[in-house]
Amino acid sequence: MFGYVRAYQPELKGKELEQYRGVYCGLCKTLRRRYGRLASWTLHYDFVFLALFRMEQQPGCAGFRPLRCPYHPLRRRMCCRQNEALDFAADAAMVLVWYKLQDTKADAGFFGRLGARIALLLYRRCYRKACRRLPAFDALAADCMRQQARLEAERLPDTDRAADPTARMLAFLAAADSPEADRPARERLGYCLGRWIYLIDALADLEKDGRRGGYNPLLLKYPGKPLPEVRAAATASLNASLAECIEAYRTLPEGNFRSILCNILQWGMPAAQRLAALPAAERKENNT
Amino acid sequence: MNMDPYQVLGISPDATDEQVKAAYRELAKKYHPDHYGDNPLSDLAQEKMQQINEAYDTIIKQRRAGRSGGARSQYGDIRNLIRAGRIEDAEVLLDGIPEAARDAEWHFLKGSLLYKKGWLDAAAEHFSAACRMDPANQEYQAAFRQISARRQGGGYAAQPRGCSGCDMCTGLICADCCCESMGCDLIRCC
Repeated sequence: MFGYVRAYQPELKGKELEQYRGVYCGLCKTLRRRYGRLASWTLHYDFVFLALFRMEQQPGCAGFRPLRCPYHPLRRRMCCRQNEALDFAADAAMVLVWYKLQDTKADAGFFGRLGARIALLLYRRCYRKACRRLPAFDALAADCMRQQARLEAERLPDTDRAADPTARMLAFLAAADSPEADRPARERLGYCLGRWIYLIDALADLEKDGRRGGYNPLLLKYPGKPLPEVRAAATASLNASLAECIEAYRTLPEGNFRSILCNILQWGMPAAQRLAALPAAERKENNT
Repeated sequence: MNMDPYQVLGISPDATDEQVKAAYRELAKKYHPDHYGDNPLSDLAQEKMQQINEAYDTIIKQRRAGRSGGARSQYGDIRNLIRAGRIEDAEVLLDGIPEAARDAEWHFLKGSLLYKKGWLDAAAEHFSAACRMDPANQEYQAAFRQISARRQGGGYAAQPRGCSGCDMCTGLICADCCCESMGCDLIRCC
């Protein structure tokens, strides 16, 4: 996961922004409590989505209170009270970070590999702890990473197949412990969300992978085509995935965070998509 | 008139035969000319009734055609498997059909299956192939139209709307002009 799944702030209401930030703070705090300060550096907004999505299943108010923390020492910030959804998101984050580092170790450049090795040493204990808490997810993630490595070795020009491992992991996370009636819709949402995340990352890395010859299913699927055309094709696929996410989400029962989650799905993710479809040089100036 | 028969009946293309029948009966009851008598709406109801009848006939005809004849006899079973969510079984059966015998229906079913699986790119390609091979089929057209609309961004709200700094300035200037024409002033300097 890479931090593309975030809210579009101009469209958030004041209270929603506060809740959104509160859940971010709560997750950061949970990571620190369960895994130490180092772990809180891995936090990004994808996991906030996961936590919100899971919290929505729980009845009643999640509970927010103003707190100071080392990152915001001057002003108290609203922070979400500890709960099971935050714990789950934190555990899942540690497992995913571990496999992401493994992946970097396997195919980055010299300095990337060195960095990944050091990070792996530092995160080893965190991962072992997370692994004990979510053994089923760890087994699935290990299987998915093996599948991903195989696909990359074969250099398959198939976007669907390439996105499948990430999608399956997210489907598991989205549907874990859900009531049986909601399971298909939650799995569908998770699957299409994972697919979207994988594809947007491939889209954002088009130029880099083209230069360095890294594995990119989009470049392999449309060989020799000019980049703008590849970007248009990738955007179409992202649109379709996102539409499926939204459709699945609409069939789920309404919870406390519906407006924030709708904002992420209908505004935040399209905005991320538009940004990723720009050439890398133009991204900074358009990043608003 | 060339409308999607499933849309006319208000059901999805993967509804069961029973659901099609039930939807037809309900609509037929609602629009039956006997209910309207001399009511000015009776013409409209009659037109609607005709549409419903045509849609129902088209669907039944399509489904019967899909179930009869040679390699096609399997398609009915595969359709049922996909509908029941048994994706792996359906995939085995579909892939077992030799490449030479793969027609429009095969591509449509393969597309539906991949769509359920979440493999949306390949699904779109198969729907498009089905439409190319049998352009007259409404069911294939409907599926392809839906997935194409989504690929073009029809699934979510469009660009952020709103009001920029420029909009505000022009708004203020307009308001100032209105005020001035009525004898007072909103913005002193202009």
